[in-house]
Parts: sequence; structure tokens; C-alpha cells
Amino acid sequence: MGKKLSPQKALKDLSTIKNTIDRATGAEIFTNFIYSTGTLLAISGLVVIIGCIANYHFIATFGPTAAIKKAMIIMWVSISCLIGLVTLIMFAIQGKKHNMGFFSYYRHIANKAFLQIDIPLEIMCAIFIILFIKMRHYEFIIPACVIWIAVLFTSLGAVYVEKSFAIVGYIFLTCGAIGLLFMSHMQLFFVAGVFGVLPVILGLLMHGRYKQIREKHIAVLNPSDNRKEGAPPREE
Amino acid sequence: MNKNSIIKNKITQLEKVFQVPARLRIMSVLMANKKADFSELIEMLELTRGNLSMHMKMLEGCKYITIKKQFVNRKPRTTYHITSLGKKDFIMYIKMLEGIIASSKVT
Repeated sequence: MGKKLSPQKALKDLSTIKNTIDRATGAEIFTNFIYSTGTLLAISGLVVIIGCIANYHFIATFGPTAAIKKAMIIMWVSISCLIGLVTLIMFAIQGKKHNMGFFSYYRHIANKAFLQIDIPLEIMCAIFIILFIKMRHYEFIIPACVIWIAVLFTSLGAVYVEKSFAIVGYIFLTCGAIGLLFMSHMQLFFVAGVFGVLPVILGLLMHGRYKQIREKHIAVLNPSDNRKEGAPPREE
Repeated sequence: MNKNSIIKNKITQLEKVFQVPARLRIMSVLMANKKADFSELIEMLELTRGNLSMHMKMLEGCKYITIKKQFVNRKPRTTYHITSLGKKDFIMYIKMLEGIIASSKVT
């Protein structure tokens, strides 16, 4: 029998295993997270566009009666719930893909560093929204929600050093500011633009970014792809 | 051969295979991802081609991995898959390490 393993060596080996597994799964999880976020943005954008068309159609046909307003509120709450449900399902699917439970996957993405940046800013947004409700400036709630989303994306961009998240965050931030300053009387148009068209475009761009990262990854991993033409194939 | 000597032989084999950190890391990647390309492993583990090949041959000899060679877009690609024996023994090794640490805490 060989030399008996010391507790120090055992600890070192376990730590090596843990670090390697973290590294092996981390990159894959993150690129898939970019892909699923892009898909989620595109899906939610399409749903919101349909909602805006329906809202416009009903208001134009039946007028802004109390019943229609109530129906529209129910419709928008349903749309929000649907998007929330799709998000949860996507989290669950991604978690399963990486042999993790829903909460493990969530903890992996929303790690401590992310929460430290994100939570104070989100609390600030929530305070502003409550303030607008108290002051009865309901027209500012939607732009404030846009800024809330912007905070989420910029935090993801800062923590994961990923420019696609940061860019999406800054675009939403600009839109939120424009909404707060100039578009308080064009709510439906604003919603259609910022929650409908924009997420579809950004979602598709994020898919492009995902492909770019994958290709870059493959190019780094397969240096033989860049070899001169006619040179013998080299791997091992 | 009695049961004790079988266990002792198994432990010796595990220690021999996994005493090299590179092999431990290769098996960790394969445990996490089930399969990996040669280039992917080089990038992830920062090993030289020769070094990785040597360890892979050793792991293949132990029947811990299977090697699949194919051409993708006229370029050779070697993919390594972990076998069920590889998984079983790797988990056994982890349990063994945990056992060593736990027993050292008790004493």
C-alpha cells in the first residue's frame, strides 16, 4: 500500500476538486445565462407589444370607460404574472441543465457581490416609486420601473464584467430618464417602446453576444482553426 | 483474496491515480461536464499537450474515461467522456478524502 494520505493533502485535493468544478461549470452557466436573458427579453417584449396593441384597440373602440380600464388593469397584471412565470421556468430549466436546483442556480447567479451592488439601488428605486404613489404622480411609476430594471442589468454588468448587461442597463437607464422627464403623458407609447420593442431588439442582440462569446471561446479552445492553410491538422 | 485486501488494493489504486493534481483536475472537469474536448481541457487546466495526453492515456488505462476521435469540418477533434467506473471511483476518492479529514478532526 502506498504512503497514507495526510489530512492536509486530503484538504488540498478537495479544494482542487472544488475549484476545478467551479471553473468548469462557471463559464458555461454564465454564457447560458446571457442566452436565457436574451430569450426572456425577446419573449417579454413580444408579449408587451401584443398587450399594447390590445390596450390601444380596446380604448380606441370602446373608449376609456371604467369597465375597460379595469379590464386593462387585469390584462397588464396577467401579462406581468406571465412574464414572471416564464422567468421562473427559465431559471428552473437552466438550473436543471447544470444539475442544480432552482435555488442553487439562483444563488449562483445572484451571488453576494451582485446583491451588495443591486439591493441598495433597488431599495432606492422602490422608495422613489412609493414616493410617486404618495404624491399621486402615477405617470412616473412606469419610468421608475424602467430605471429599476436598468439597475438590475447594470449591477449584473458590473459583477460579471459583461458589457452586454451593462449596455442593456444603460439603455434602460436612458429610456427611464427620458420617460421621467418628457413622456409622462404618452404612457402607452412609452410602454410599447421601452417594454416592447426595445427588449425584443436587446434580446436579439444578447443572442448575438452569446454567439460571439461562444465563437471566441471555441477560437481560443481550438487554436488549430487559425492555422495556416495547408498545414497538417494538429491536435495532440 | 479477502475483502480487506480488496479494499486496500482499491485505495492504493485510487491514491496512485489521483495523487497527481492534474489527473484530479481532469476528472473534476469530466465529472462536472460529463465530456470535454482536448483543447477545452488544455485551456481550462493550463496543461501542455504532451502532459495532458499522458494523463489521458493513464486514465483510459484505468477505464475511467473513453476517448472519441472524429473529424469536425475536416479538423481532428478528440472528446473525452467519463465512464461509470470513473464516476464511481472518483466519488469514492472524494469520500475517502472526507473521511481522512473527518477522522483527523476527531483525533
